Amino acid sequence: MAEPLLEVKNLKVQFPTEDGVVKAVDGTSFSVAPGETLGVVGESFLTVMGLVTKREARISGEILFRGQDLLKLPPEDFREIRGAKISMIFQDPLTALNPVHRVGNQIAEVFQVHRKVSKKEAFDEAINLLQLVGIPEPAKRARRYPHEFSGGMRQRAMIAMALALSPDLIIADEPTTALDVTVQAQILDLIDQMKKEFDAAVILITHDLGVVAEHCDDIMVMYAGRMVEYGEARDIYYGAHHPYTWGLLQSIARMDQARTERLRPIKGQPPSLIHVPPGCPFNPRCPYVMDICRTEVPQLIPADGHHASACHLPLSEKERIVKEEVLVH
Amino acid sequence: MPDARIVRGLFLSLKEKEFVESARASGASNKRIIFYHILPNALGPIVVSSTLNVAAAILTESALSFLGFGVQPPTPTWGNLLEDGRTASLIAPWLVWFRGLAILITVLCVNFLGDGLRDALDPHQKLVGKE
Repeated sequence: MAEPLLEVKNLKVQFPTEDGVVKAVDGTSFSVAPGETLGVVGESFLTVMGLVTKREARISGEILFRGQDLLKLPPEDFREIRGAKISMIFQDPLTALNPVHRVGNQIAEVFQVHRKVSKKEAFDEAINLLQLVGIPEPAKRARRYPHEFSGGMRQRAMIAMALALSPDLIIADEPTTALDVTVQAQILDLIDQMKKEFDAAVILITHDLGVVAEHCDDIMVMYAGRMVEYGEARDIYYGAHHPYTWGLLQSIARMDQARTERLRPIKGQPPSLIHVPPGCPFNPRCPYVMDICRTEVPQLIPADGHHASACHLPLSEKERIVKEEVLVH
Repeated sequence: MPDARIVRGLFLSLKEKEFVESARASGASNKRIIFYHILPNALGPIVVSSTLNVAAAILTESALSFLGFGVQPPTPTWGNLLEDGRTASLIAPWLVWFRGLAILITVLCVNFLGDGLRDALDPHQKLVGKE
């Protein structure tokens, strides 16, 4: 494997609150290679950039971007990386775009912040970008305000903004949640296409396994701030090894399913991040729970290649359950 | 100054907005976030509150001068004019009416000016296609 673009080592993010300490991310390590798409699925995940903007968070561990630890970087140097080398696509483009500025100006801003260009040049670049992400009549649209755009167009504009300086890494935080299904597919295809064109790596954060299937190389499943399973997209879909992943897979509505058959939800509530259950965080909701799960935290154990899962069930048992219970459904 | 408190409150709520985080994620400096991203969003309420203050100041001056506590007589103010007319109000009531009316119109105008400015500053109020 090539030199990783982004390497996160034993990252912990905690927020002190009145009721106790919220453990948003609890000891997670992963890496992203250049040009790779990593899907992050599951409850509670904070993004590399999102968390750094929150000053009250306690962060430990390392976030290495091209070998440079972002957490130790002086604020001014980190600011130069944000937007230029790492950029972000937000969940809801309506709130992520400033309502008082024209769309074109907001895209142009990225150029003005990072490059010494005139307003006019920056605006022309913005129009080119809007054209690139498939917005008709870009010169006219660039003069419009965000509320005059449709949801899909706004997300395209966000993508244009994220791509402006051809970053090495794009973090997409549930980019399709605010959109309807047909537009979702278009936006994901656009991200894919842009990723190839700009040769960027993508971290796609989502709660929808159906969304990441086609678009990710690797998938990382998070639960209660911990990584519970990691593997290639195919391994996760056809040979998942963690009961939480099975639950996610079974709760997807399928076209080929009988109408009378009900969807199978994951029982119970997601755990409070202040009082994470002892042992395996998933044990209160797990249908295959054993005694050991209530006392000991399972470690992430590799099965084959880089497919790994954190669950006490023996591997043979997991493979049996996947074949007999999860995939047949 | 109540204006200062309003601005503070607006900034505190606006800085939590997602577009501020988005600006930060694209590398904008603090200065840029304050003046380019947050201030224009706070401008509407600031304009409305300051025009209300102007109107309130005119009314306060009139009321105080009418009672003789405001600007002292040789200086002409609306409150003094009103007070002037009061002594003759039984013989020449229009002296009070028209001066009172003038105060009312001025205060209303200042308020409408504030409303107009707020609408003009808010892109949502602009009709689509009218550029």
